[in-house]
Amino acid sequence: MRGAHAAVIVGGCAVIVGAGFAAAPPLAGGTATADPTASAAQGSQTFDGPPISNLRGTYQAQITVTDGAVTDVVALQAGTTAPESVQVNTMAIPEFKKRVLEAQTWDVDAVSGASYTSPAFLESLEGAFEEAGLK
Amino acid sequence: MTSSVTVRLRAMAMGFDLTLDNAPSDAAAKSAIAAFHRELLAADDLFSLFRPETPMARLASGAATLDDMPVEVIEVLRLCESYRVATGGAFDANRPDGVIDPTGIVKTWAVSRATTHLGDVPSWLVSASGDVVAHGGERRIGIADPAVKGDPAGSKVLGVAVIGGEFAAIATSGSAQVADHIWDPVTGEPARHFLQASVAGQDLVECDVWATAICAGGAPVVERAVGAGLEVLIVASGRSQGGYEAFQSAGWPSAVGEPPEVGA
Repeated sequence: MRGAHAAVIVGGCAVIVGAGFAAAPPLAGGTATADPTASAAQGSQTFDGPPISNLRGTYQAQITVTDGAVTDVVALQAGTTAPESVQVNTMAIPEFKKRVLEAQTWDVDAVSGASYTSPAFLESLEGAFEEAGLK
Repeated sequence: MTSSVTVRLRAMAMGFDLTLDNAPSDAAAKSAIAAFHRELLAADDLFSLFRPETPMARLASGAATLDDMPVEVIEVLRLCESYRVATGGAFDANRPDGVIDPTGIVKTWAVSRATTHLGDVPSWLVSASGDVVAHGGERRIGIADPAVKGDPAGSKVLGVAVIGGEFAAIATSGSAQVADHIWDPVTGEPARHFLQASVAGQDLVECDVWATAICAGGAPVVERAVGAGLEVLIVASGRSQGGYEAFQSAGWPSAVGEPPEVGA
């Protein structure tokens, strides 16, 4: 299940993952380094970032390191609950009317929208890199 | 004779659009705008966590204690605590590391304080980077498409709600840039409760808190919000054939008629 989620991190995250690879070349090439975690470079190992919370919930990253290179990034937590609970939650508002909304051009005085960005996942990801000795 | 002035103010690294209609004089409008802006800047001086010298930053870093805090900081922390209780813990300014971080409500708290300086202006609208409050006449507020990143002004919107009459404020939460990009390939759903939640009510801070809490806590929090007298519009998920599946509370102040209802 977690493996399946790994494939879905795109966009902003991919940039950071890329940065992780960039930080990793000495290990990625399979060459030995003085880093004590270099022994972990044999085979595959996972490293969990710390759970980072903000008002939107808790975010936690996990990376998989294979032969010294990051091969996978998974969101163990993204927001307050596990992704698996999404279906259950969206179905569970009985007293509400269900609608289909389409983006349209309307004449408005102002727009209400989320203006909040969450660096918490990236912070956790950074912790996982650190844990893996990749930064 | 009507007059209208709109200004964009900057504070807390955000933009605040302030519209004043029918102010008694240009001088009155000018002085109201200045007082409004001062209040936002003062909040930044108290609460910014990016500037180590502010009282809130000193409290967060352990350089100061609650006893050292100005009355405004105590007020905001009390507000956070009362909303933590009201939302059943879905809104919680306490971080796991023991630091209290009220950043989530400082913006709307500051705007609410700032609007007390608009008493001479019969009709006004404040658009505070996505959270909106109005007084003295109906204003049409678009609900942003969660797919739009950055400032949604000028983009197509999912609907229009009315404030400035029965309801004073609308706040919207959701679409954190990172979390929104995490999808569950098995269910095809985004890996969070909802794409977006908008809350309409009388108090901007209250709307802001509940919108955040609903995104954090999901359906159980929606029921609490409605129980607290708020109206809610939730954009639950994208549809493969386009558009969004949404849920709307019975009293949501829609301005543009009812979109098609779909079978549950």
